Amino acid sequence: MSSEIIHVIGIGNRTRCDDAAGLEVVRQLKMLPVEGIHYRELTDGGIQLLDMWDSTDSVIIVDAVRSGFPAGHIHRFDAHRNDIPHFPAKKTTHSFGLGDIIELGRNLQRLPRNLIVYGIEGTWFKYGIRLSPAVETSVGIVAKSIHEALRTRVVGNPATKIHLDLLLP
Amino acid sequence: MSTRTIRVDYLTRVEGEGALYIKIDDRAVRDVKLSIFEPPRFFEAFLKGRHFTEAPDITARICGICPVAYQMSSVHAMEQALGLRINGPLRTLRRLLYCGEWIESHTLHIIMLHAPDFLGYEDAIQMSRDHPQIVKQGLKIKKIGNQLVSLIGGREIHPINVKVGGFYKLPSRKQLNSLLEDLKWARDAAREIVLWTAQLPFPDFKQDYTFVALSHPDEYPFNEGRIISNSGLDIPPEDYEIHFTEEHVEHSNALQSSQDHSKPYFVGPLARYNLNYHKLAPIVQETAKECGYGPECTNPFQSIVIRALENLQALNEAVEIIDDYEPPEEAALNVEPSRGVGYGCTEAPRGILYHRYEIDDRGLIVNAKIVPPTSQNQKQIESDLHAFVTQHLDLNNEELTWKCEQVVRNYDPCISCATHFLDLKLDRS
Repeated sequence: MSSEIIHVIGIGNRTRCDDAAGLEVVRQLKMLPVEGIHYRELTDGGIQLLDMWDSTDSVIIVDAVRSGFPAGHIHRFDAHRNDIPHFPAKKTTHSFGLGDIIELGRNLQRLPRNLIVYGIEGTWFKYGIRLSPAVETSVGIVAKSIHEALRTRVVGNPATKIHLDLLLP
Repeated sequence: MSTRTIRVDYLTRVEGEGALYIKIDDRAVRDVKLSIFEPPRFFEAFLKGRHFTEAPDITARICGICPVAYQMSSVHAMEQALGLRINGPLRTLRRLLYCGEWIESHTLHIIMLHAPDFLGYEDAIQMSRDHPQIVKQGLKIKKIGNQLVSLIGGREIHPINVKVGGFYKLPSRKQLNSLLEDLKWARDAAREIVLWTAQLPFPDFKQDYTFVALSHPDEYPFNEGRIISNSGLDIPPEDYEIHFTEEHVEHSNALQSSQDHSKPYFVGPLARYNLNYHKLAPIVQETAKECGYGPECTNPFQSIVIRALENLQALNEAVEIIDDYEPPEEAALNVEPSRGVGYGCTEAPRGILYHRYEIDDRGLIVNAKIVPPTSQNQKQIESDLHAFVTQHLDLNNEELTWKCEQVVRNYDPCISCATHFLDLKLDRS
């Protein structure tokens, strides 16, 4: 078993429809957990993420986004290779956004060795507990892809990166 | 008539959502409106009919940054209504909890929200590129404050261990000692932050303020004291509503407070500092002097330094409390419901936070009044903006807009608290 510490983190709000997308992905992953993986559901992806990353080798984060793409569109970013866009519609005045935290982590050299971010484009952000149909479909796709990537990762070699080049249908 | 309009849709680096409109014509400021459009939250309404024991947990939800302040004001008010007084180690433990909140709240504002203004950065993220060490230091201090709140309060945000009469569970000496080395490190780091903030460039802007804060004969105020001002006010909390009133203004979802029905007043670190300087610990007074600060400071832009001094105060007190900690005999005093009215006024990081409750003989809340510090500062913020813009009409719109946002950030406003984020519009007409 690899000694690599891997976290899968879903961020969102269960009472704001598609804003629960990240939480729903993690909820589905926890139904069939992969041994050795830490699954977290957070309502706020603020400064606490930096503390969490300090003791983590690899992180996958899933969050809902709103950037004008069609509902259900899946964004995927490698934080060490891509700039994470700031999605203005998801900006909150009550804490720092995920894009800000990643950039802060980069500036302070506090990013985990691997950091992959999935953004699922939402369309319903009103009060409610249902996902829109397109987001519900994408949640299933992302959850399945992450599960497969974690399940098939090379074990036994602590120096091996987990394979996060997921093929999305 | 020459006109000028400046607009900011959302003021950043404040907590919550608000807008600001300033109208200037013929080189005079005609109108200033601080519009808080964060939706009203009706806590005073839905506290009615709840049991008095629920007040700390319900009111803590008003704010994620200063929940301890709400819990403290509510428990003190309830305890007064029920004829209960907390003394000794339980009282000390409450001060320690409050220290934790001041540390995390003040550090967040100093480093992540306010400092970027003085160095010309759009935000702390940009600032962290060129000043990573100070940001790292600030985040580490904040984390230690959060850990202290979590240890005593049971949780970092919306603590769950506070109750009327004391606590549900007491921390052990061993648990508190586990934080001691970190707190000592943080105290030294906080002193460095004071020195760092004192070197920031400040506009020359001083006003004749009415400062209002708690005052206690023996200590820098947290939980208890009389309400005093630099204009002679000296009253118990139960007389607060005689001297301070709230009104609804059309342009804001948050009620605005005033003294004697019309006058603005100033609460928060600058007020506490000016009214309680000699109660600061020696290390804090010495550090202040080292930076050239004496007992009086009336430049709101320098509130960042004062806030940093208060941060040092809280850390020093936390170390001293833990060094001398003896666990209370019981986690809480026994409380029985009875009819009464109680008043609580404690010093939230942003200023005095007033609660008043009436409870019936079953212990149910009949009515409640909560006045947060940001509500109390609204009028003063508008007054500062009026004065500042009047003195700086020569600035171009972009620079003046930024400075106006900075004027608001001087107060570390918590707009969510005030409603039970800022969109600035400067209209030069």
